Amino acid sequence: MRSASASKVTARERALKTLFCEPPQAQDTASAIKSYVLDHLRTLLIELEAQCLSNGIQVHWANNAEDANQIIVDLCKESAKPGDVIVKAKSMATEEIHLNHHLDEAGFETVETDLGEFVVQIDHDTPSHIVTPIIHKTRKEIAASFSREELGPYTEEPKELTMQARAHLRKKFREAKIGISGVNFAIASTGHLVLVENEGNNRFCTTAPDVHIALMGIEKVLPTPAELPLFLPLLAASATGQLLTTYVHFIKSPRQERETDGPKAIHLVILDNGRTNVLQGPFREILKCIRCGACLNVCPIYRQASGHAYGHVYSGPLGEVLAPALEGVESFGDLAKASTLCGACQEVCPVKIPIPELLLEIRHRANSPSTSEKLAWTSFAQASQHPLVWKFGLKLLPLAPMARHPFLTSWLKRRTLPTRVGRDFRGWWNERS
Amino acid sequence: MNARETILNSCPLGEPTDPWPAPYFVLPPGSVVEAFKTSLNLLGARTIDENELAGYIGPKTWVEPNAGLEVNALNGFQNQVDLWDAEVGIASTVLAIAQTGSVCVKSGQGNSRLATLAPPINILIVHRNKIVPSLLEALELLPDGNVAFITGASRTADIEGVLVPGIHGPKEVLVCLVGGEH
Ligand code: SF4
Repeated sequence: MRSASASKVTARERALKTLFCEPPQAQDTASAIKSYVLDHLRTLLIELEAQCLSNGIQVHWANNAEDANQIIVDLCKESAKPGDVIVKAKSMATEEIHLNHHLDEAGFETVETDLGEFVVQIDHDTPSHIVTPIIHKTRKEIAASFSREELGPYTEEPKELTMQARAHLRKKFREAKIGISGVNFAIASTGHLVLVENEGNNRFCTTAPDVHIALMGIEKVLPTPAELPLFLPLLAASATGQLLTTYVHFIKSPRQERETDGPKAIHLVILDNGRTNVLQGPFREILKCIRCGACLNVCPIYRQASGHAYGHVYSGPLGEVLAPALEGVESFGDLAKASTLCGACQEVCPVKIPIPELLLEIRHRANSPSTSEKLAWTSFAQASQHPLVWKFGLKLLPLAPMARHPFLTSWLKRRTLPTRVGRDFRGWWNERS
Repeated sequence: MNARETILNSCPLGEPTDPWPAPYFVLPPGSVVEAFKTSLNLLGARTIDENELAGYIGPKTWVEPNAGLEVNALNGFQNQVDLWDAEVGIASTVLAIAQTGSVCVKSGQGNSRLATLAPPINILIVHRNKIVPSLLEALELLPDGNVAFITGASRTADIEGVLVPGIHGPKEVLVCLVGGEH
């Protein structure tokens, strides 16, 4: 296991070094930008709302999960009838509010389209990792589920299983009346909704149906597109060791006159659900999180216990802070005890959240042994039942480029973020095109 | 108070602050075209020549109308297949990024988003003089409207960490470089 995790960490580090001359400086800058965002949240959200409205995106505000679910179900009822298909892209925010349950109750056929989330859905399971939801399942288990759902002839080949899912979900995309997604970054100055992914299901969800509904936490806003050359690669490298995810979508408006496809209406639902409380309290830094999953990947406790033991949609070091911060230390404070405070999480965090410090603060405020006992027990149980968990470190590696980047040694030229290219570059570009 | 006011009133307005420290990015040396090709190679995306395009044209090929304006080989081609059922999709791009091997596609004026998504084989036409060194320039030049950066083929590693291309989008991405560098 140690060598597996070592190569995993190497993929992340290799990607960061290919991109940034000094990766820690990139992390510090990202952290500073996120501080700026939290300090100026009202200004940025007002700007974002105004830009979205002028681009034709409708904006809705939700104080809590209940309101958000109500808003989304009502929007769905406007454009679809019971029995209609709603396709969903992977989104932690929709999981946080348990949206699927409400859509199902309203009679819609809700289909998770991320491969991992799809497997979780047909198995009535829950995701065990925020980036790779079925890290706890073996190919045999998935094969059994697919054959039970009659997706195709029984096979344990990952490639064939994936193609069965492709064929099944392709039909759903074609049928769907509504697509629902999260948002990775919302740009205040332009109103762009920026979504990242590797599979392409996000792109189908936000392109094929006539209506796109996006749900975002208030903290997802960034000031301008100039922050993206930092955040996009930082997120990809931290999550999977890639330089950039396969797809980055810049969604600006519903289908325009000269466009042949794309949704005719886009709704942005801006969710609080405890975040403004966190903003004013001692755990505010956790709102910088960009959900990359790096802290889960390096956490010795997470790797032994798997995400399910945390009992919350947000697991790992991130969840140990975010769950009690959002829902109260009374309900989830025990999670903070499931940490050795080894500090690995803070080190890999692309926005430098001082997770161990925040955990200590939560421990001060909570006092019950139940969850930490559960985690200790589960680590034994998991280790014996799921040998796969031990191989965890290798899981994300295949997404990273395999070879060492040849430019690495010679990419010495450096530039700075805010001012660097400007007019010279534009002139150069205009001459060429 | 409605939800909007409740939320906004609980958020700080903020004071103007100094600009944040600038991170330094590693940039590709020499020709952006060579750098772009190297990055594509690492992603497993092949580059093809304009004269190889003919081999991909058939009844199940979908060619974006404006791709024909850019490349002679595609001029006058009539689409016979529904885009959802096409086996090859040929589309134009607005810029490309050497550092990451990405291309930028923009919808509108003949470009559909599904052309680079639905067909299992995707051919992207990239003008050599539209390749920029890094994400910095790409974001500076981000075209207005609905755009996407595409970096390699659609992929998943959800099943036991085994990399499988083509889970939802193209299984294979080919890049056809056209035009001169300057
Ligand atoms: S806390 Fe940091 S490392 Fe963990 S998921 Fe969030 S951004 Fe990533």
